[in-house]
Amino acid sequence: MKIKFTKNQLLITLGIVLLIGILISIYLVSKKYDDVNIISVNKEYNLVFNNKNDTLNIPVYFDRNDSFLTEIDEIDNVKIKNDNIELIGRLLEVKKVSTIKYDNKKYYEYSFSLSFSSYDNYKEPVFMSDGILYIRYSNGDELNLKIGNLNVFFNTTSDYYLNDLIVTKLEAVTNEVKSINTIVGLNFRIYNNTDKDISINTIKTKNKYYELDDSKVLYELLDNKENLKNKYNDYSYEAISTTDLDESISIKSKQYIDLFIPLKYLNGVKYLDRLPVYIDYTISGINHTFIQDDFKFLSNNSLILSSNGINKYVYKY
Amino acid sequence: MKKIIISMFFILLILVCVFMPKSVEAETYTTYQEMVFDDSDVELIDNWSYMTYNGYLAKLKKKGFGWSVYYATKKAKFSFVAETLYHVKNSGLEEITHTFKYEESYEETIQKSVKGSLETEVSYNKEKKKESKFKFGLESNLDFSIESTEKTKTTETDTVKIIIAPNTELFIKVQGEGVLYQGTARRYFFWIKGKEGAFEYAIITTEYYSIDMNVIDESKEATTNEN
Repeated sequence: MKIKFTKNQLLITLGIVLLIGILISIYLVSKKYDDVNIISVNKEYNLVFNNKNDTLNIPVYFDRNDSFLTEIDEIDNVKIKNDNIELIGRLLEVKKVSTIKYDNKKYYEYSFSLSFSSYDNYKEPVFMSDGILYIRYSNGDELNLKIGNLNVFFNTTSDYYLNDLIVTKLEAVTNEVKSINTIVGLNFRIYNNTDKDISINTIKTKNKYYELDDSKVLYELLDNKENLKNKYNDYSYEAISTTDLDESISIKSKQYIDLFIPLKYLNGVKYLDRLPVYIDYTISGINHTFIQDDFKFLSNNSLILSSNGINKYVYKY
Repeated sequence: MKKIIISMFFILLILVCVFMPKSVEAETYTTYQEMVFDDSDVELIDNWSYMTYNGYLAKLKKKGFGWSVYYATKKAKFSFVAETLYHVKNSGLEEITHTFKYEESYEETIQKSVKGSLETEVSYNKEKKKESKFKFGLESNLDFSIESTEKTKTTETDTVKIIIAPNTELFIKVQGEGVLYQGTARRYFFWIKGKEGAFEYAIITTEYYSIDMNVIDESKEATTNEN
C-alpha cells in the first residue's frame, strides 16, 4: 500500500518536524549554557608539607557536574593568593568526592588537589589570611574563590629525620563555643625514644589566629566530656598568656608524659578540624624541633557547621 | 525425555531464584562498638520489647490511602565509638616512620533500618554512590529535614606522617555524634492495612579521630599464635 501525501500535508508535516527540531535545539542549547552556581567555603588550612606528594585539598561546590569548570584539562593554572603573597600550585587532580543538599539544591563537591614546589623559598610557616583560590581556564576565564586562611609549612628541616620524640596519643578536646563545635585543646602522650633525658621548651601550632597556650599545661589527659572550667579558675577561650612554659618539661629516657594544652583563639572562635604541632626540645644541650604532622581531628557533615563562612558565585556562559 | 529436561531446568531456575543469597547491608550505627543516648530511655528498634513495638503500632492513625506514620523519637542525640579506622603494628625493635593514607568512606551519613514487614533497599546511583531507601514509598513520607545540608560522602583521602614506637601498634580511632529518628508506619489501601512495622534512621553529624599507640600485648600474641 502506498501512502500519498498532498502538498499541504507534506508542508504541515515538514513544518511540525522543523518546529520540534528547533524546540529540541533550543532546549539543549539552553541546558548546556545554564549558569553554574558555585560555593566556596572559608576554612582554616593548617598543613605541613613534608614532601612533594603532600597535597592541599580544597573543596569547591558546583550545582552541575557536567561543566568544563571541573575539567582538569581545561585548567591552565592555579594559585593561592591574597594581596601580599601568592603560592603557585600544580593542580594534580579535580575529584568529585560527595554530594550535598544546600538551600534545597543539589551540589557536587569537587576536591581541587594542589602540590607545591616552593619548598626552599620558605623557612618558616607561610601565613595567608583571606586566601583566594585562583583558577585560570584555557578559554581565558578565571575563578577567584575565597577559601579562608592558610598556614602552611614547607618542611625542609634536617630534624625531619629525627625520631627522638614519639607522640603515642593525640586527640582533640572539643567544645561548643559561641555555637561552634571546635577544638579547645589537645591531649598528648609524648614518649622519649632516646637513651638521654629530653627537655621540652615549647609546644605550639604556630598560627596567628589561635595558639596552644602551653603556659596553661596540665600534666594529665583531659577527658573530652570534662568541663575545662573545672580545671582552670579563670578560663577563657580567647585570652592567651604571653609567656611560654614556665619551666621546661622533662621526659626521662624511654618514659612518656601525658599533657593537656588548651588552644586559645586570638581573633574570634573558628571552626578548626586540622592542626600540626611543633615541639621545641633540647637533648644533650642541642635544640631541635619535632613536628607532628597535621592531623584531622574532626569532621562535621554539615556544610555550614564545618566552615567559617560560605561564599556564593555564579559563572555565566 | 525432552519434557523432563525442560521441567528440571525450570525447577532448577525457580530454586536458584528462591534460594539465591541476597546481599545484606549492615547498618553501620547498629554495629558500633558503643552507642550512648543522652536520653537513657531511647532504645534502638531492634531492642524494643513486644509491648513497646505494639504500643507504637497502636498509635498509628487509620487512613484511606498511603502511609500513616508515628514518630516515637525525633532528634535523639547520641555519641558513639566506631570501629578502628586504621591499624598498623610495629613488632620490630626500631621505631618506624609511617606515612599512611587512609580513606574515609562513610558512604552515607543517614543510615536506615527496619522491623516488621517494612523494607529498605540499597542501590547505586549514576555516580556509583550507595543509596539506601525505605521501600514502598515510605521514604518520601518521612522527615529528613534535620539540617539545611545533608552530606553524602564517598571517599576522602588523607596522608599523615607518623612515627610508630617499637613493639607498639597504632590505632586511628573514630568516635562521633549523631541524632536518631524512629517510629512506626503502616500503609493503607482503601482503609485496609498493608505493610507495617518500625523504621529507624540515624544521622551522623560529627566524627572525631585520635591517634592511640599501645604496647603490643605479648600474652595476646602468644594466644593468637597458639591458635
